[in-house]
Amino acid sequence: MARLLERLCLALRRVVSGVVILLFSVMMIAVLVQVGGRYVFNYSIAQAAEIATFCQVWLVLLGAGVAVARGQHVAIDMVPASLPRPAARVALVAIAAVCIAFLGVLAWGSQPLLRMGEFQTSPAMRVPMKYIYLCLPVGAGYMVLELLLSVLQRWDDPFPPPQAEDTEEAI
Amino acid sequence: QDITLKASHNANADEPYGVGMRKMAEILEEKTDGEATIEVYDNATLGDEMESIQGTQIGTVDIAVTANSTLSNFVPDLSVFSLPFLFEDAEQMDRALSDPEVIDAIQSALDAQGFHLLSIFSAGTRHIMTKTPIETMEDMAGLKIRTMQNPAHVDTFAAFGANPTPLAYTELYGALETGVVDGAEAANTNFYSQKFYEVAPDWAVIGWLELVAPVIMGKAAYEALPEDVQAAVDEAGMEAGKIQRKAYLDSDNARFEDLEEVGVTMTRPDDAPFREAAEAVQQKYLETDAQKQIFELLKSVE
Amino acid sequence: MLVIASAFVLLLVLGVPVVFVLGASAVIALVTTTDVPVAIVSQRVFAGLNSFTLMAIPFFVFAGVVMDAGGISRRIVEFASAVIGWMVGSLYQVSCVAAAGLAAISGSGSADTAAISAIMQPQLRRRGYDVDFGAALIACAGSIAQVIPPSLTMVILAIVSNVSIGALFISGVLPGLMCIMMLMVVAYFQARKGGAVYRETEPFTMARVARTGRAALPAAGMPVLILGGILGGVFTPTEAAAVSGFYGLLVGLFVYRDLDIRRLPDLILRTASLSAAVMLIIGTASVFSWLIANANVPRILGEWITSVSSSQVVFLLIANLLFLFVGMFLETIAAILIIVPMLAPIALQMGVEPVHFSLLVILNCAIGTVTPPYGVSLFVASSVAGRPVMSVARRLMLPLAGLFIMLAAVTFIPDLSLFLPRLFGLID
Ligand code: NA
Ligand code: NA
Repeated sequence: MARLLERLCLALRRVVSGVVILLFSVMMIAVLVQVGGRYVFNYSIAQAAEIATFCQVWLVLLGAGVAVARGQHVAIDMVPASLPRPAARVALVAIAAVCIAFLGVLAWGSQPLLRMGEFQTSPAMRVPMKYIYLCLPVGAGYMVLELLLSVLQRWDDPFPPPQAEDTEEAI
Repeated sequence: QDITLKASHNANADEPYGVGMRKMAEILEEKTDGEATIEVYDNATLGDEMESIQGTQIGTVDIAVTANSTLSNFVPDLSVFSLPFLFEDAEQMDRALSDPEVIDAIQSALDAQGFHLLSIFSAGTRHIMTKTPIETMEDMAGLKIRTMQNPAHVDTFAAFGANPTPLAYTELYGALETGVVDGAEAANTNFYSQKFYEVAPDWAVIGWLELVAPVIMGKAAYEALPEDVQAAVDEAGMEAGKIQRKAYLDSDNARFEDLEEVGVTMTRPDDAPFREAAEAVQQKYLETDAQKQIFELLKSVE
Repeated sequence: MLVIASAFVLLLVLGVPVVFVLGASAVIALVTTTDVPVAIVSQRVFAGLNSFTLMAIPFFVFAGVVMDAGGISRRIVEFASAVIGWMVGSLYQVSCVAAAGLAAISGSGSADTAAISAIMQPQLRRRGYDVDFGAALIACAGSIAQVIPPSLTMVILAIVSNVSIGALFISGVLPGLMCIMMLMVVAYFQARKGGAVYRETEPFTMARVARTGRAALPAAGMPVLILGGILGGVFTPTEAAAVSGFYGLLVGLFVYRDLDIRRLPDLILRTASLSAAVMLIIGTASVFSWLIANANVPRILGEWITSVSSSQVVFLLIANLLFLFVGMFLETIAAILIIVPMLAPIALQMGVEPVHFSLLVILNCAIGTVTPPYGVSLFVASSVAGRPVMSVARRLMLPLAGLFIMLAAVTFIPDLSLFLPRLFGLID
């Protein structure tokens, strides 16, 4: 079971990472093209800003899952870190449960948006908004997987002291 | 049991949307002897326009005042109101929007997507601000003009010979100041209150668009109201709409003096070539039967 | 309010990541105190992220990441050391000046703190400096990266309070540099009290300044590109961010050549997950701010403040105190999204220039990242130094006092923040 989760999650992480890199690249190129278009061709591309914005929304929801994998969501774990191991494990599970519960609400609450997204179109490209709103349940689902995996991986040492390299990652 | 409806809009309390909504609240309270009231949330505190529209479906907002272009993303037939020179002028628009046949046609377009129309507010007559005076349509040639991110608006300014440049409204002042764009379109009120004249002092009074703002409820929320309140809300909506449109027109006209006072150079270019250019755009965007029907109905009102 | 507050504190202490503390306590408050459907959560999270202007954040993060990978931090520290290494307490002084230099490239206080700490802490230790004071000083100097443009916090604040990003950026230049100078003064007095180790300095030579200056020069192109591009009307701020990211990439690849193009996917992924972590907080904090608006808190607070006094000075004092207090506990972005919508309308009503008010908020936010118990810059500086947070926090007194003096100055002398934006005609 644990093995399976780990394999699934790692395979998914590679795919998501690739997608995230692609999204960022498209986003940046779209904005640069917009600037270039205005000056070089004296023409602005209305779609560029919208493409970039939608890439950003997907980027954040998927990237937040990658950030879970990399432990980049800032938390104050001084209290749980000071607990003996059995209690620390309880805290570990409780923390994951709170996060997963919230993500559940996020995914569940996106249903009305998805329903509206059937007929709501984006202003410039006129694409159905459901393809954009879909980032909410998909991103939440991926984050849940990463959270479950992190509980497994941290089972033996729930709250390791921060490493210098880790903190460079904090923004 | 008392009913409180939450109304959301994105302007200041003392601007036309806020004034109109408060008027609607007042009329509704009168008609229902205080049984039903409207609580107005200004300045997008309950969310921006898109969120407020969604909110009427989700149940977080009861009444939303929204720019027509935003609502068109949900109700494509409404994009008729984004067409240039749709009305003769603000007075003809006011008569058209009070016409029961027109209202019925719009109502049925909204109904299909789960919305209920209460009223249509005015959001002002749009003119063009630039850094060089516009005497004729030729003067528009090649100017980078900020428009809303709306295909019909973009095509309209292309048809005027300009280079339409959609930009976020929040970036507009800076973009004009620094020359990222050469001009923009706006109503007197925004032009004056946002001090755009400081950076684009030429004002071509052309009235290329009457911007409208439908006031909507979610259909489900509307139908959940007692029948007498439903009727009262509808009446309050129509009455407040009439008052709001008149008030906007008056305050918009009053701004002309203010603009002159701060040294704005006003031109009144001949609108014939503009209207001619606009016709092709109108034809291009009249796609569905409902759109054609609404268009013809609006035109038919004297 | 009580429900939100207790859920918030409980979850935070339990060690739940801040982004989920905000989300979960908002959900709890939503369910227990209102009959609003929870779909509002998904809606607000989406709306919080669906913004073109916000895109400046990932782009500025990218610029910082590629420049850092290209070895820019090291070159800036070397240049700072050539310029200021002759002073008493040279390592402290170099830390401050390098932090200012890096601030002009980096939009994030904690990234700046991390970069400076990583280079300076080993040297502080080797030369026998007070490592705890060093960490406290670097945390403060690094946090000023939010005040000196570009700044991710400013981008967010500009969107929330509807002020021009360009004007806000430029308003931070003078106050930011003065904060750095203030920290240098504090460091000087601290070092003079210390032993002989602090008097060990490096000789000043023009040749060394020129050599290290040349190496750091491409970095100087970044602020020129960003501020010049925005002020000169070449780009909007979001576009400037994208262009600066592209510029950073070119410098790393072709000028410094420390950057291998094969590392690019990895750097992009790092940029993406760093910005996603920040931006998801914007999403969950917007649920919070909706709740507060829904409960009519801004109106009530406004009425209370105006009933206390109608004086601008009193209002600004209250606002500063409130922000400093909230900043002790709350994450920066959350603090902005929750507090600013309450205070900005009152500030406007009191006749405070919006850019002035916004800059005060930014300065308070910067200080908030240093003040215990919760301060990202403090955490980063302590952990890179390998010291307990509490022992570093104890040495914060003097540098923080310096920043408080600057805060007071910026509060009561509006020209400090408004002079430059006025000079460039961005405000009247
Ligand atoms: Na900065
Ligand atoms: Na703090």
